[in-house]
Amino acid sequence: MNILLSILIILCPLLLHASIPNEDCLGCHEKFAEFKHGNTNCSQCHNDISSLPHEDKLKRPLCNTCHGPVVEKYKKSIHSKKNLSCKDCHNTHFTSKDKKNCLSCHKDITHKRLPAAERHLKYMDCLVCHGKTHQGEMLIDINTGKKDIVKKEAIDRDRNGLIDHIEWDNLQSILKKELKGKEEIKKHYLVKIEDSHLITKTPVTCKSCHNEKTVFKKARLTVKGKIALSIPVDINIFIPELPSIEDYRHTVHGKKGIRCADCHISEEAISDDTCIKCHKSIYGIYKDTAHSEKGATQCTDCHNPHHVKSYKDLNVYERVNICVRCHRDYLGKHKWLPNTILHFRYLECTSCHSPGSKKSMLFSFVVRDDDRTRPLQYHDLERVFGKDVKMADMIDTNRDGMVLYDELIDFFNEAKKRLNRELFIKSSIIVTNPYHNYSQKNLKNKVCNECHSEDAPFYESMLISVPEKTNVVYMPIKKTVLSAFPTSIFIDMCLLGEGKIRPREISAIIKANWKDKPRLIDELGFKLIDFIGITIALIILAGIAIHIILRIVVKK
Amino acid sequence: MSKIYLHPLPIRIWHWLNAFIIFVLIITGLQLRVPSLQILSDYRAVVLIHKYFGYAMCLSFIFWLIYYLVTGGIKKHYLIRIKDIKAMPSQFIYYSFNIFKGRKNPFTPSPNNKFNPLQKLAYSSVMFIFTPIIAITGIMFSDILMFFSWIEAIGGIRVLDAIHVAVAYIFVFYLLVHLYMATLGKRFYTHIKAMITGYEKE
Repeated sequence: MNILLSILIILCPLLLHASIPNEDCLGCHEKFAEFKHGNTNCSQCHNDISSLPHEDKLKRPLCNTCHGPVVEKYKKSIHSKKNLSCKDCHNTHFTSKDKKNCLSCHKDITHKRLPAAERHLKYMDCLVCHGKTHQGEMLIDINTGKKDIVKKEAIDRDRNGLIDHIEWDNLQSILKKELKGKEEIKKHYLVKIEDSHLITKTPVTCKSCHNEKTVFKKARLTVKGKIALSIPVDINIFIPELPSIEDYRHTVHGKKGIRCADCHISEEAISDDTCIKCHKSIYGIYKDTAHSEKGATQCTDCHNPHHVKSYKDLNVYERVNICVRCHRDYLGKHKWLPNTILHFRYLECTSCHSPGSKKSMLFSFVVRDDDRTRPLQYHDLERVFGKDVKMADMIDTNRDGMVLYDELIDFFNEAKKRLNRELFIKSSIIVTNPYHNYSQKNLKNKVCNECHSEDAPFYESMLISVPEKTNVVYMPIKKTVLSAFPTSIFIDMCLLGEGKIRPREISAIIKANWKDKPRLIDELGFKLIDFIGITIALIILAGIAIHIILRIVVKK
Repeated sequence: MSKIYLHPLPIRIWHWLNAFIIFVLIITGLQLRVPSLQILSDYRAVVLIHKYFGYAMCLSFIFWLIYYLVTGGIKKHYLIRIKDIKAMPSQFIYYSFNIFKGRKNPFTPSPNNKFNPLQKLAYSSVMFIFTPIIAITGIMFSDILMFFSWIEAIGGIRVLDAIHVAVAYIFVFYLLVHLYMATLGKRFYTHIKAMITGYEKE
């Protein structure tokens, strides 16, 4: 019904005034000989002309006679409120001529307050921020020429259908090696402009793109070689998250009550002197190191003061990212390391390059939402375990300050059941007490056995990260979780050269009560493979020895 | 005393090449499992040697499989028949008791049937069950990220490790027995010599 009505409204003036042909008008108004406004003729807009010659003074034609919905929208825009009419932008008699764009009026726009203005304006037109958009998407095209150097498996190493930060860095490394920088990487920021008439006073905020991702929702990489391949990419790689005052309140500085003016005492950029006020001892270690002298000379070169998270809140990926800002070819430089990418999923750079730091093996809970994994948050647990619940007490049921393997199993199973989603335990080997000397280099000859050994330092500090209401708590966890059955199955860590079964563990099982034996055997878990294997091998050797002796005896 | 031609040249070459590969894999595998052994000082080299010798073992297995599929050796030498199962106890009794009494081996090898029932059982299970398992799990280890979804499907990296290592132990058991039983010929070197020359003396 509405559609019919609209058609009638549009057609009405056409029907009423179709009687005066354009040629009759052009007899006097020659300059409009090339008149073009859709398929209309003069009298459809100048609809107060009923016969020729017409009156001297005519009414101003109304655009909304035909363009009603657009005019209604336009009324809400900043341009309308500034009393600009349709004619200020559109030449109504020659719609294709003299079409104005933003720059026609806003000639000297500088965007002084827009950070990285040049980069923003290079890739995006005005309406991306100032208009109403939807279905924004980023396209990254890499042209490798005729060479077909990268296969999908080489890009999406873990085959999860999404290129993450490490996989993107790996691709850069491959391209650099194979094409020596001749590859073309083009970035396109595509949006569908819902209506270019609706330009509001305030543009979208930085947060819309950088935090909430409401403008550009997804990114897609296309590699054009002999065969083109296309795969989604994590959009955070190209549109990084920005700090906000709300986020700042959750950072270490914010939580400790440090206010903006405590550091920003003038408009000048803050220097190390500002940081030294609180971090004097760390600065004392760092300032004389080779890294400080030749590389990052200021604290803020590595640490974004607005984004200062506690070390506990940074995962491996975030930690690696601090170093990677300068050491971009870190994957290429670590090609000597077998399973390079795999190592960087579990290790941060300083695990090796800062020998003075304390390393720990850290476990953390991860949930899977729609094929994406993310860290388990306190609010997830609060929803299913009750308000203000203390998670440390939920896990460490015997309250001895140490998470045992059966406590972990009980909690894991219960949480998984209540959350009703896939739950995992992610592992990493990270620094839990940093030492600010990162100058250790050329480690390839000796580093393997520092970690791939029973005596690796992180076995002395095994921790599980537990989300609490206001912070993240590291709880000590018993080393047996690594091999115990079944915890070791849902922990994604299996290091070459992990600790093997020891005689005292066997004798503990032999001496234990029958009631405790199954628990101790479970706790040994996968370590039993070596025990059973070596036992059978010894039995076989004994059998062979007896056989040899019998052969010799009988022969005599 | 007659000679029979038991082991054709391609199989003899394969056998010794495979023996060398498996020897290297066991030694490097042992150090990977227990790094403190320090058989080779460079752990990274051990990882790479184990990886590439693993690939070599896969190729050697494929060669063996194709050779015996083409020549029909699998059916002749490896297929366990009902009569083999029936003959297993007597073969076992021979190795456990009768060998000391100097009795004759109940099985006589021929070019068309060169393995006794117990050998058939051991070789068939090693070649058709354990080698494929250790090769597939090894290939999955060679690029954990690439095979990540497969590894998840079988229960995670620890389960993969457990399968690979358990089968490696089975290889060690097999090797101990195999090496010893190779000395049970007429003279202790008879079988070994046969694997070099191809001819076994009766």
